[in-house]
Amino acid sequence: MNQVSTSQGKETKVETTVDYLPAQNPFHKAYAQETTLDVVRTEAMSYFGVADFTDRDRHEFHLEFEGGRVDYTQTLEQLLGEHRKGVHLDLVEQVTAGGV
Amino acid sequence: MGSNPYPPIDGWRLPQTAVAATLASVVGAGRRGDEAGVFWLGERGATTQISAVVSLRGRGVIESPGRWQVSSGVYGVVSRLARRHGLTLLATAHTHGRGVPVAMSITDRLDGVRVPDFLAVVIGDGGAMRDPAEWSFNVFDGRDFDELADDDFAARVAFVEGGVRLWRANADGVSAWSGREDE
Repeated sequence: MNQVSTSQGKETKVETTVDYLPAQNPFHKAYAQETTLDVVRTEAMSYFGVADFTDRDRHEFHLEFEGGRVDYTQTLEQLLGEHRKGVHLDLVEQVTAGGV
Repeated sequence: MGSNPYPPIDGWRLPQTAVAATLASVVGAGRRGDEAGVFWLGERGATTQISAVVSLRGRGVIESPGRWQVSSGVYGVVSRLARRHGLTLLATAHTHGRGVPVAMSITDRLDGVRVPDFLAVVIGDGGAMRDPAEWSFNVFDGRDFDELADDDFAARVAFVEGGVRLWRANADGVSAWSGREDE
């Protein structure tokens, strides 16, 4: 993780990249390591212009890390441990039939 | 944060080899009466070239008479593949069975990838309709998919020579694919 100086002292940031398969350019932001993955998901979805919705089916977007879905209550530090400099996540859509 | 995730696309260059691989991937399911489909990958740009075809078959891919559906697990596998190769999902191409209109259904519209300039292609007759000029090409305009009319199709879709990368993917992973039928 990168040590970034702030007015409050040194704050550990995690360089976070989220890819979405139909998008040419990824979402990228340096987050405080205490940031939860729910925050990352929300901001990445906003960048990609997508949202959960329900029509006849339920459409939900999820973050994956190394092929597995993440726990949104986890922080980046909890996901990665102390020594990772960054993280690469994938945003994928799940469609569940019969949402209505 | 990065730039626009969806650079605008004015036109697509579609290699004949991509057309052939697409048909090879879907026609077997079509003969069974099932819908099937593929992903077309490339790099977005004003004129964007389809540079890879991903045949989707196996775990996480539903091929049935009225529905072709790809699970989030398969999207994840293809996402990691695309990232490694610097590619983006540009289009889906899937079949409708014999007697079913060659046009997007309501399900196709609702479940399609709804990002600007995304291309959704419908192939008629379970893949037996081999001339892509007879397929339905639909572009997401930010609100809904619009089918390209004949003049738009002629202006925006060019059939070109050249090769494409070929893969087969499902929720278990991805492998190289020959592009031949019945493999």
